[in-house]
Amino acid sequence: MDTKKPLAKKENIVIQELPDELLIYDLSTDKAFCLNKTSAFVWKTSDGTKDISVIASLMEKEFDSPVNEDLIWLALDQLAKDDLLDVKPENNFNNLSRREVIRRVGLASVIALPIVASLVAPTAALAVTCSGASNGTICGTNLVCCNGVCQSITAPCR
Amino acid sequence: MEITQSDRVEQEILKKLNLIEWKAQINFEAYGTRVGIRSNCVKTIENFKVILPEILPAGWNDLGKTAPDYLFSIVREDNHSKKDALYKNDEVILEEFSIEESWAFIKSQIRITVAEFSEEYVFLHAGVVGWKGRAVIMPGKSFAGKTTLVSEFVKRGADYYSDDLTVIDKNGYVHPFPKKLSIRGILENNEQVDFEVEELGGSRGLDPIPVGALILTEYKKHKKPEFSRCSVGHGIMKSIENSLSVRQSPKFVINVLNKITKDAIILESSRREAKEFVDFFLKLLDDSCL
Repeated sequence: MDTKKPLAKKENIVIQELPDELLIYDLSTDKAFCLNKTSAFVWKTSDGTKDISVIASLMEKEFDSPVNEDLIWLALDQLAKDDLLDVKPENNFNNLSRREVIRRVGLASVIALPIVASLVAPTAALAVTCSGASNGTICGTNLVCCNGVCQSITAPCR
Repeated sequence: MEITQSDRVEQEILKKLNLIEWKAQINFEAYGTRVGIRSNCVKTIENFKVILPEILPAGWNDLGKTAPDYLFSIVREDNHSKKDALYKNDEVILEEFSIEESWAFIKSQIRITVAEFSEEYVFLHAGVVGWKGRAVIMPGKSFAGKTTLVSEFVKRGADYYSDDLTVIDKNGYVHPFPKKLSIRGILENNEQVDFEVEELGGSRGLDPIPVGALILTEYKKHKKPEFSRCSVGHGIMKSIENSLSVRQSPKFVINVLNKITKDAIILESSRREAKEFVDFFLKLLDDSCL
């Protein structure tokens, strides 16, 4: 495995192509992710055979706009944080902080910054009404009602 | 194969349940989910037969003696003794409670089970009405104001589909789930009071309809409505947040959510009063021919 070439996660996920976005559901963590066009392109292109400069070059053709490699690194950094990559090359952004890199890339780039929205899918019990029961009423195994929401018995009632 | 502590607990529960003399049972299928309810008390099951239309207002199919996939066992002690117990298959749901005080919870458990394990429909925690032949879906958790919004739509002539559960088939069509509207704010302790939609001057939707709009909104006291259009991805993520069965059937749920958001308008806005919000939204629809 070439650790300089990023590789997107392919096992245990559900993928849904959307116009200009990509939805990924991770079956192992029950987390859902929505990738914007930039992140989605980087993820889809990360097939383990292309290094960063090749991905940047492909993105330039696709988006018809110059692409700084830092944009690709930002995307990979975010994708790796969300555990959507099996291989992510190391990069330290030339010792700049992530915030500084974002600022620098954001100022220079016409292409949208990479964004990955995420959430943990709810269980059925947590997704529903607490049927008007009083606070503290048990609504499931280790779950109690709190202001109409079924929540963990150990969490404070907000 | 190693037996875990959890396996042992389940085995103990099954052993205990097998020793009980079950006096009555009903088995039914709804939305493709097969559920049974049994009890050592005949009256309990008779009560369930009476309230089943409330739990599943769009109906169910009697399974007779066919074994269900999800079996609720209600073990009764004396009335009001707080020694009743509720199990689902080999799992304890509630112990040492009084069924007379917990009907709402048990009804909710049955409904959740039907919704969670349906492989033919997607259930969202969302209010939904029909407007000019298309569904307007409003996802939201408890206390989000779904019933209030639905009531305002219904008063303006929308067809009532549900104030709490939106049911969507595999083709992306919304089906009626016309439970009574559960309205808060009438009683001092903020408990819900149930009304038939006709009591509010409204009418029910009868046919499955395609989705026209998904409205993402939350109450913000001093912020007037200001709609912004959202992406399909954002709409699907918000729907997943309010889905009852995404963990059980993620591929199916996401596929259906994609179908409903593909051609629908997805709008986000805060709101103050429900009346103002619904008026604003309907005017927006009329003005823009959306």
